[in-house]
Amino acid sequence: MAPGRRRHERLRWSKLYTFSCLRPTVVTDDELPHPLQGPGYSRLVHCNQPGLHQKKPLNYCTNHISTTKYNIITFLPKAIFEQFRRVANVYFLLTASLSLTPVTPFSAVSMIAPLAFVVGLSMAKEAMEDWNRFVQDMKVNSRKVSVHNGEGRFGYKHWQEIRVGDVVRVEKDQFFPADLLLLSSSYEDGICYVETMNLDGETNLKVKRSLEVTLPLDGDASFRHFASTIRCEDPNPNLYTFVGNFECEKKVYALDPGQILLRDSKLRNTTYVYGVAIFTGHDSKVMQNATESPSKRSRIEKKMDNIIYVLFTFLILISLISSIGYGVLTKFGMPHWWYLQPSATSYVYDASKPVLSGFYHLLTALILYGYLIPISLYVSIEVVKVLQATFINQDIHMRDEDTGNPAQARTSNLNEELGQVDTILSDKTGTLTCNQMDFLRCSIAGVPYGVGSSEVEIAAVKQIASEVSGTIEQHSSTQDFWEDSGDGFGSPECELEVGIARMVGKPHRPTTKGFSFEDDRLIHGNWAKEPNAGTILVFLRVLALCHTAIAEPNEKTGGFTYEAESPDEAAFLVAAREFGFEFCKRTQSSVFIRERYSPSEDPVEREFKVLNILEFNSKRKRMSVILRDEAGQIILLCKGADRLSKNGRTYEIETIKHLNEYGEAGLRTLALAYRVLDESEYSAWNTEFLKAKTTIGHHREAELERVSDTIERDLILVGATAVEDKLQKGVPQCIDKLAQAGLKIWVLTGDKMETAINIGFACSLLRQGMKQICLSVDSSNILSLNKEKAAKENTLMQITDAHEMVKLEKDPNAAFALIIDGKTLTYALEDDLKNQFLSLAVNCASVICCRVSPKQKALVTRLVKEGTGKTTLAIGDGANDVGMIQEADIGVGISGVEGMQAVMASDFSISQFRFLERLLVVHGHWCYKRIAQMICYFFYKNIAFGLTIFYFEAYTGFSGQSVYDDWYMLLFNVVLTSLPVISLGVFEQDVSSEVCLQFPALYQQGPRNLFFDWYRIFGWMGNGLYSSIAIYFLSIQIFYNQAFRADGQTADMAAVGTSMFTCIVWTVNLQIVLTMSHFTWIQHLFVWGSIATWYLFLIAYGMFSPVISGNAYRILSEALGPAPIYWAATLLATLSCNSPYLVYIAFQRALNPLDHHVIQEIKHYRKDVEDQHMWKRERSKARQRTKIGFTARVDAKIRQLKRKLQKKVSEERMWASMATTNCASVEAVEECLDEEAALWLKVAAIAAILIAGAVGVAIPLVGGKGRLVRTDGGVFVCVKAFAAGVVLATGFVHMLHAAESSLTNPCLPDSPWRKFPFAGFVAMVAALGTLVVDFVGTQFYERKHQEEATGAKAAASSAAADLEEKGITAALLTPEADSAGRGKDPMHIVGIHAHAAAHRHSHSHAHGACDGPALPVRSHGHAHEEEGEGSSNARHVVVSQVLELGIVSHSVIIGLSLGVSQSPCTIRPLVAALSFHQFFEGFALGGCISQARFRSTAAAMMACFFAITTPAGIALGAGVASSYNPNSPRALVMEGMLDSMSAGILIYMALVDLIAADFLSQTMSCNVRLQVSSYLALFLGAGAMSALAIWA
Amino acid sequence: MGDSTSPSDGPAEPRRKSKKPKYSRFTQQELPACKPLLTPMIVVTTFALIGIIFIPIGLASLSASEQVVEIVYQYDVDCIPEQSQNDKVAFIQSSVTNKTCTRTLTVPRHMDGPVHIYYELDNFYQNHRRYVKSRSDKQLRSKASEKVTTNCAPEATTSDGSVIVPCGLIAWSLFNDTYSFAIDSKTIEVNKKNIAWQSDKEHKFGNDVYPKNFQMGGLIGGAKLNASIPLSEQEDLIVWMRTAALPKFRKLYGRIETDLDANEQITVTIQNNYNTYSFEGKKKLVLSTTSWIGGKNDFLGTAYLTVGSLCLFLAMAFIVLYLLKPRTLGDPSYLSWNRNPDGHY
Repeated sequence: MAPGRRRHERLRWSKLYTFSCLRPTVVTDDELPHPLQGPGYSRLVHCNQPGLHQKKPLNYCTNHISTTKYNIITFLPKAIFEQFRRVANVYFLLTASLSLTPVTPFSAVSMIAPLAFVVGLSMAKEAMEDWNRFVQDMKVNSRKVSVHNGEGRFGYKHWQEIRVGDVVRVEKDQFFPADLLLLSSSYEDGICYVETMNLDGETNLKVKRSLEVTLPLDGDASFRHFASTIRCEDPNPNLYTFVGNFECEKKVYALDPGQILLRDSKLRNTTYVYGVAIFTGHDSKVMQNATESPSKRSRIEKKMDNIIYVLFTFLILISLISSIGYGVLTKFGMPHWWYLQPSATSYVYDASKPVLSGFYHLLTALILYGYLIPISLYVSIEVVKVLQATFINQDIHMRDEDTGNPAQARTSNLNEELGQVDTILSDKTGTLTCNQMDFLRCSIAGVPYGVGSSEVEIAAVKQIASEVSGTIEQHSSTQDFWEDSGDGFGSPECELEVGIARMVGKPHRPTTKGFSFEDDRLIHGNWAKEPNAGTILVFLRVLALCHTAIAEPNEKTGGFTYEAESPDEAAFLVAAREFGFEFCKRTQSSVFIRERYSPSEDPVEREFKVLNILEFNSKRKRMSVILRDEAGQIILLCKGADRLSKNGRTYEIETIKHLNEYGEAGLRTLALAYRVLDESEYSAWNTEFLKAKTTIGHHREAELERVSDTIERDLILVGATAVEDKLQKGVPQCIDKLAQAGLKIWVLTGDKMETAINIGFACSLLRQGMKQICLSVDSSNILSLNKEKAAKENTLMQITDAHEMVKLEKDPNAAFALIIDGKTLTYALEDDLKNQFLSLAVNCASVICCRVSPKQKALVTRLVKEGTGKTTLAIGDGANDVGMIQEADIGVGISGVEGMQAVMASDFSISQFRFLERLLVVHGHWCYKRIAQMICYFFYKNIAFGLTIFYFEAYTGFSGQSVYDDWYMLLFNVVLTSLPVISLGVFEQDVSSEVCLQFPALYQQGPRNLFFDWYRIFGWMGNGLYSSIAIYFLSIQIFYNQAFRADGQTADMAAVGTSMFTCIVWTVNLQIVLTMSHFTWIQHLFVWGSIATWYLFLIAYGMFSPVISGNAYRILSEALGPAPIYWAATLLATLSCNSPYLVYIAFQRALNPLDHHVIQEIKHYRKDVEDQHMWKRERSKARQRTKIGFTARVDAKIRQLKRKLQKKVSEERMWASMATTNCASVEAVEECLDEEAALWLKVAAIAAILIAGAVGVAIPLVGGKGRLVRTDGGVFVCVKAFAAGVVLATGFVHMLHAAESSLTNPCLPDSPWRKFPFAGFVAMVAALGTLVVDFVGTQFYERKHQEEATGAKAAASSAAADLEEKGITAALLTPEADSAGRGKDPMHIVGIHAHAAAHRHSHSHAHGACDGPALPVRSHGHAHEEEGEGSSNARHVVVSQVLELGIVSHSVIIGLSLGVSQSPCTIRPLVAALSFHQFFEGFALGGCISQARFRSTAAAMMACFFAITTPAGIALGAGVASSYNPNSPRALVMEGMLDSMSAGILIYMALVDLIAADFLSQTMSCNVRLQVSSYLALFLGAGAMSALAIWA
Repeated sequence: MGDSTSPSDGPAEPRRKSKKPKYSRFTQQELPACKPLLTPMIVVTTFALIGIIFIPIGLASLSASEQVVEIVYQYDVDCIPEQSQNDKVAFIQSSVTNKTCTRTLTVPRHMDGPVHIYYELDNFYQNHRRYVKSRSDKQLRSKASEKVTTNCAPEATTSDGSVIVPCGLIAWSLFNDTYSFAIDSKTIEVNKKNIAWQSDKEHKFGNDVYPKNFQMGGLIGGAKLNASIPLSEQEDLIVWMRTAALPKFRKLYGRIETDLDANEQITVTIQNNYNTYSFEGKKKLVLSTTSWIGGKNDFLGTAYLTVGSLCLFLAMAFIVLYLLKPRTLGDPSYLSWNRNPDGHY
């Protein structure tokens, strides 16, 4: 024992520890021991008396473990059973046994040998694998441990010999051989440190402590007379609970998990412990957690079984057809076939018993058609998989340089499953991280120190660097304002880039383990020169003092090594030492540190008296020490402090900012704080604390926490630390690639939630801006009687809430992260909750489960596997991952530093997490495609071959005769077609491995199962069917009954069979050439070699004695070779069989190419080299949907930056042009920018609006033309009223408002735009202008009319009416209009207004007149009839033209504004609104036009002009979308002006020309019903159009 | 693994000899490979080429088939006297009836010699499993294996146990109609030599094997054999023993070495012995010339023409398709993430 050891062994830690060393004393009255009655609590252990456990009932299982599937006796039956679980094997067994009977069409050997070979091969493989497991078990079982032999002597024994009750002595860094009860340790107070990484993956050490009563047992000799009994629970898999009583000298002590040392955990920092075995071997908790290692089969293989079922059904079907045919023919034909001598037949051919014969024939047929189900398939697949596995093992890109461990496919039957993984469930410690903490940065007094960057940052920067060029390029093509402000755009990103690149640029020189800090301001004593030197001093002291570690002098270096509970703590101590505050000694009451203020000075050793340690636990999330310094001052130092005093918040804002930054960089952060205590305050608190400490009962812990809280208040913040939990090499990149490949990643860890979240950040599974959903139930806070139930309800509530939240999320870029802790998971995994939990989890981009037990890991895996039905992959490195590795579809073990348990249980082992990328994306992708294609092809070729046998049967009276020689059939699968298909399965590559890695999205072809879905399978089967039909009938027809040679010989069965078989060999081999896309010399050799082999075989076979070759004697050389028809038939059959497939793939490639097709083409034409931008762009596009990984993080960041930039750019523009300030603030950031979708929508919009407008305008026009709708009819009036309402509302609600908002846009300068209401003004001017145009136009038309017609006779007579009308018009308009109007010549405003006014007047006088027929009115107007007709038409012309002008200018603007929008979200509602809008406007306009009675061409032109304006506007907008900035002042002014102008025009038109004209007309005034309905229509139209304003 | 016994050993850490994978282009799956691409050019060329090759072949085969002159005469019904039409089986099985039958055939076109004479049977399952197996190649080949009659039952031995040579149902049911031809009462020589495969005569049927106990049993199937001629020279038997693939088949009977002129009247004298009436099989006499594709068979030519023109059509169709829907090869806009930006998963 090292002399230095003893020093700290004198320490009694329990005095310092507050929480974890609560030592239960003798059971008191109020705290009764667990009753331990009933089932589940029957175990009785006699300590130190293992002899008592040798016979029943106490004969518990030994410590021998076995994880093998078989033993010598069970191997044969079990393995054979396993083999015959494959349906096909059963079938082959059946046929093999039948082949021994006379019904067989083939020889028995040809049936049995292949089966024996296949089964034997598989069994040998199983045996090998099991043997490996056995060797591994043996190794564990034969580990040695020191065991009490009696008489106080200890001796080494194998683990497997340990019995329950044995007292063992375990030394430092040894594993516990069984579940032990801790009796005593090398520490006086019986505590010990345990590392449970193998069990739960947690890295910080756990403190265990013995019972007080067993403390004296601290030497070998003391066990001489030790005896006691333990009553406890039965073996169970629960790692964190234990219930038991320890009975010693008639006293009963309660035991809890704190005294139990679990098998497979490790003793740390403690020289030795004594313990007594409670659970041994398979009873131990870790073994209970292990699940039976299942035999896994890949999805494809399972599906293959289904295919075999299908084929088997088919086989039975054709066998039945065959045997029924046979029976019928035997019954009715056979008696006449004298040449068969039916009278002298055996039972197989008995014509008198056709049913029996038929039955026998069924058996024959089943064997005969067996070629449909290829036995060679299994052999070939097995061979292919072994070769594939060899390639995986041989891949040097998956070999760890440091350890030299290659990747290993431990079972080869899951290769293709690697290509279909959907979800990865990963362990954390040892898998993602290497469990090493590096002090990286700190923030002291609000000043950040440390320039080193975390791996995440480095990775992200690299990404950005490669991205930046791409993005600029990408956007400049579409949005020119990026270009305009190229400098401005580049700058923030460049800053960012330069900033981090600086960090990256510096070579990383980790000088000390655990310390990667780089900043000259702090090291070498430079900190003293910093402005906040005082704070820095406190900060460093906190680092050096606030811990529970022990310093051990290191003889070699002269320094100290620190043994700390957690690696962070060690990292702090190392950091403090590097900064010059070396922690050197700890005594019972004091901590000594050597402080060195500058490198030149000698260190000063200071002693701090430790008054209290309030150590870290997950509930408090902080730790404190209370010390008395040399000056006698009492100070409290706190790590993880979050509660600060008022005056302690000086640096709070900065520090919090830094904490966030560190968190984003994936670092673990802790805030440091201190507090100076008054002597009196401390003593008062200490009294209370001591009281709490001595409280008896379960309140004690809560009480202690409460008391601790009271002192940890009003802390003064000093700074914060950031420690990097070193990720394994390449983990972020790997996760990124996997995420791009569309894989979901779940992290299941035994670690604390905070740690897990930190790691989530570090691996980019989480990022800033991701919405975190934390599910955790604090059951202690639930004051319900039924805690379980309440907790469960709480869980359910949280899940439902979260689900709602996810559902309501609109932003397509939003990502959710689900974080759940073990306790909540227990509830979430219960049957009634698990589906909800799962559906929530699958909607989240990443899922992190913390504090989960091994069993829960397996349960979660099972839930994902069964719940989603997708392929899961579990990866882990420790014993705690074994369950999940076994449960998942694919288990991957990391063959790292920890034990081999995980590797032993796994299907694949790799030495680092990062190799997973290559394993899945390259090998998985390849293997999946290879196997899928191979199986499809296999079925194809066997159908193509097997069915020809069936067709032939129909021609042989279903007698079971095959047209082929037995040898041909045997060779078909074995020689002639096997090697090409194996080469397909082993060597096929659709794209090279580099492309696989560059386009992880290609991987999705696997999970989506593009190559082995039923369509494809049936397609291949159909192809086989077609080929069989084509080959058979072509051959039969060609070799019919005529001579097949010039010599006149006819073809016998051998000739027909051989030539048919030649066709098949050619066809299937050419087919595989069409299937393959990658030809090395091997494929060429195999394919062409197979065909050549066939001819060689024929020649060779023909040379054998005719006794062997029968009718095939010299068949090629003599009979077939010289016959041209033989070769012609081969050519014809082969090409006609393969053409349809060629047509299919040509079509597919032409119309619907798959990703790998396109990439093959790009590669083929070297476009990737020539057009690297395109290549890069596609690569980045391929991962658009990724939500996790640092690419997503970078994307999110870029999005964020873009937004900022957008703001900045517009700001700059404004400053440049108008010098306004807050333009950007109202600029809507278009959330769902998607140019492509927008473009499609625009196209759709053009179509929809065009149609709506055309229909709208056409209805009245066509109706008017066809006189279907009388333009003066009641219905028409109503509709027109409706249209008038629409126009009115458009003017007031849409246009005027739009103009207003355009012209008051903050992007416009205040002066003059906001000094004066331009919108209204312009509208008014426009209305007046319209009036003028109206007037002038009408006059013009009227003159024309008058000249043409009767002259000016009516002018005078209507002058009065004109004047009246004028007044009305003026009244309707603004007073200005009136004044303006006065200046005009009122004389010639005639027409409908005049009529209207006149009638209104007369109407008001003589309302009663209308009651009668309208005759008097008519007569009144009769005088004007002709004249009115003419002039009103002129009015109509003008009205319609002006209306068209107003509507059109407005239409262009709305079209334009739709066209320039790039966001589908805004376009979608606009399309609908505008379609309506356009329809109604069209209707109104159409009515006017039809009233105006234009010539049809003119009318059509006007209608068309209207109909196309909005679409044209959209098209124009879409065209200029990239360059058009709707917020540019020019655009705004234009838009505002046009809008307000059209508003003026529309309002005028609506009120004067439409509403006034109709509503004040004679027809209206005399028809009450029409009045009512017209008014209704008007209001409805106005209302409807106004309502549309909600969307448009 | 010596230290594994030490108690301080960690958990099983088999520092396995790291099998260091060696770099080779084969193990790294980086062998040079050609990766042919199915370009529109290749597709069109392939189909066009197939068409261009197939159509001439088809035309050649059709014309070859056209050259062949074939006379087919079905005599199974004709050669039964009127009074026996109702019970043909009895007629054929009776040993007393006169089965000679003389008919006249007209040569439609000039037939170049040699003119092959075939008999054609229909509905005769020479390919029945029971029938096909019922032979002994060993016995046929050498006298030494005379006793090997494994599959020959029920025609393996006579009732007294002596071996039948040749044994089996095939030989037993040997065809026994005979034909003789005359033009203008001048007999035409029928050459019955070399109607079997040379190899069969030389290697398959022994020249020391003589028929023995053949057709001596209770049931008499077909032709009898001259026991003094070795099997290797019994060419009718050799031809017959080549079982046909289909129930309708022709077998070579002999050849007329001279030319036959058009419109010549050939008088055929048929000895109608063979019983096809039990199973309602047809019997035909075929006289046919041959060309390079053998006898008359329009199917081959038609099939070639069909497939050839179909391929030409496909070539055309693909040209149209590629013109209508042109796709630049390697156009990235066809990648799934570009075609379906809403998510390609």
